[in-house]
Amino acid sequence: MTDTGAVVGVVAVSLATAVVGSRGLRVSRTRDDFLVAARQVPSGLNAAAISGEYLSAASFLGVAGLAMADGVGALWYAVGYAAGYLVLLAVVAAPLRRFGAYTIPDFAEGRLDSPMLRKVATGFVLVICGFYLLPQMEGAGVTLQVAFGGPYWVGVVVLGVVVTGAIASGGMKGITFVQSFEFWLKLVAIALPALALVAVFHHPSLDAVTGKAPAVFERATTVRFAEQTGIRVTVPVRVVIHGYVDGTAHDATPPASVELTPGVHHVGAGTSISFPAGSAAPTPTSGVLTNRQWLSPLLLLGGRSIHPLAATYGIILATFLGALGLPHILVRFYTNPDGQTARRTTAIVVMLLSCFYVWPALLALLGRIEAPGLYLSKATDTVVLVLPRLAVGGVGERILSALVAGGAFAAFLSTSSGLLIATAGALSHDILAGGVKAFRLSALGAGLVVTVAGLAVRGSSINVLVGWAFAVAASSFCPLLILGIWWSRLTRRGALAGLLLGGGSASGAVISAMAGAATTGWPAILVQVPAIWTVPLAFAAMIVVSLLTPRSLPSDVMGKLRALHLPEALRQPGLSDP
Amino acid sequence: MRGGIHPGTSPVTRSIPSAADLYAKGAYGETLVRSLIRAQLGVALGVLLPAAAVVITFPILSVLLPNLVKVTVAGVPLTVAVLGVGIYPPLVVLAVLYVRRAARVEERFVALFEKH
Repeated sequence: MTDTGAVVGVVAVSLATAVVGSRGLRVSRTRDDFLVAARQVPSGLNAAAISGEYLSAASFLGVAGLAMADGVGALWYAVGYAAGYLVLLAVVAAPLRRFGAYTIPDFAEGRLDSPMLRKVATGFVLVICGFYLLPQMEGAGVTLQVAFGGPYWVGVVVLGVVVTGAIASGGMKGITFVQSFEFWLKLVAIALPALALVAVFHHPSLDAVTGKAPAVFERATTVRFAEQTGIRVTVPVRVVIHGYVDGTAHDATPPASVELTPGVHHVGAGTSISFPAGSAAPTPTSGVLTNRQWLSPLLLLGGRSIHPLAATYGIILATFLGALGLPHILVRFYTNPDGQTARRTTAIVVMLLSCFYVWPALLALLGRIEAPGLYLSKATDTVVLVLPRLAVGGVGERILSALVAGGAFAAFLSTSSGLLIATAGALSHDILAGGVKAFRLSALGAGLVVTVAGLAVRGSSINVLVGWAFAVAASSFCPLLILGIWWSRLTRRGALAGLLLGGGSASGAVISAMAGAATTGWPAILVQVPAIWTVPLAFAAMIVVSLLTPRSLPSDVMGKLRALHLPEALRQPGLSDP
Repeated sequence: MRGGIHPGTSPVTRSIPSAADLYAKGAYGETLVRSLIRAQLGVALGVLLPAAAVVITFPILSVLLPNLVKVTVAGVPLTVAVLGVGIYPPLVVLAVLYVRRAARVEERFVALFEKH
């Protein structure tokens, strides 16, 4: 079941990235070129590049998929992904640009005079990038699976090879242009199908969400049940079955239609059922929310109501505060010529992201109404990719499929290349202490590790994985940056304690959650939405330990605060800090 | 002879600081720098606190008013309208406000050091 449109989209985006990325090869020779594209990028282009790099698999596929599965409350992820830039704008954008460090480890060492702190920060750069890269790989695997109908690993390997190759050869000079192009591609690729779907659906009514009518298969639809599922049928329907229903094997040739009577039926794993156009969709007996639950603005963990208020605030904390601690985003702020430009760029980013995130919300709503089959096949993460096929036929369908698949692949490419640059930069500069050659080797090594790990995370929610990367960033780098920029009494020991306690406990919680440690009650909240306790813990540890250890105050704090906060006009070459 | 040229002002006025004061050791330069930081922190909190207020209130509101999920705006459920679209325009407004205010604080601070 190869979708030619989607294949064309994916191939085109990969080629464009490789070509534009390799053009940068000739100009990128020094570490500066590699890491910050020589600081000469105009504001609008830079904002699009930042947004392009930021909008990942989670934004493009994950938000709509999670909101379709777990309800409107999951849209807090999208709100937080955008609002994180308001926080970044207000507390770190200009000072960090003025301070003139390339990376978070640079900042940690420069602000607190501590090589030790630099090493710990480098460690967290690697942890956050790792957690963040996995869902990108998973997204690529899922997308190519939908596009080619092939195995999951193909997408993971294709993404790994394209990204690693582009980074190891080109650096960031080429990537800046690719990233900004990819932002616009992603915006068009998600907005156009959404608009087309709104225009095309025969019953553009919200009755299926507000509970006045059951969801209907708009077109004839074949649902493949990956696992054993109980389904509840409300209206009798004649279907064609391949596989097992209620313990009876159906594999007649030519296929004969069977009536599904109202009531509960048990469908075997691997069974596919073809429903005719216009038939009312059955609902799974477990795991699907009622309309009332679905419309709740609170986050339902895995679709279940486990302390929803705490879960919601946990995600708000992680996403609002996590964006400013993402290692691959900060490095882009050094491409602004001065502090005020950094602010303008960030404000444009808030605007661009706001324009983007309305579309995943709309697609989740359309998915809820128009793609009930995804609940049955438990494939809600593919809703963005699958919706165009459900509604539009012929050439239009192929164009839209090419667009969404291309846009999705652009999302994985841009985010994972940014993350890989940050990873390779940290590895080559802070651990191998080498130049361009070490950077290339690090990119190759990290790319290989992540590709292999990407094969293992199949089946997790893309958005939940990304949310965890944000939680670790919010519990480690966020307090370091905020207190480092605004509080003169931050000490080396305080910073170290906060990083280790906050970041360490968040990482521990995430790993426990990945291992499936706690799934009910408060323990589930504490490991699955760790930000709710690890962020306050990190801030408290940094502040309390700093106050207790005034002797480990770094030298010349005033000089550092001047470097962070004084406008460029007041910097005098003869007077400024060395 | 800074500051002494206006009629009526004392010829020994030292009210216009120099950029060198910012870098000099001692309490004066430090006070100037800290006043700038405090002003900028005020601007930051001026946009972050309203944003936080909205974001903290909405989930609580939905617990206090369980029928919130039944409310529709022009046929669209309220919760979808708010979290899907409605929350973004205020976000953009706050971002633009912040950029303007922060620039103004900086301009005023720089103006302190200009010779009249």
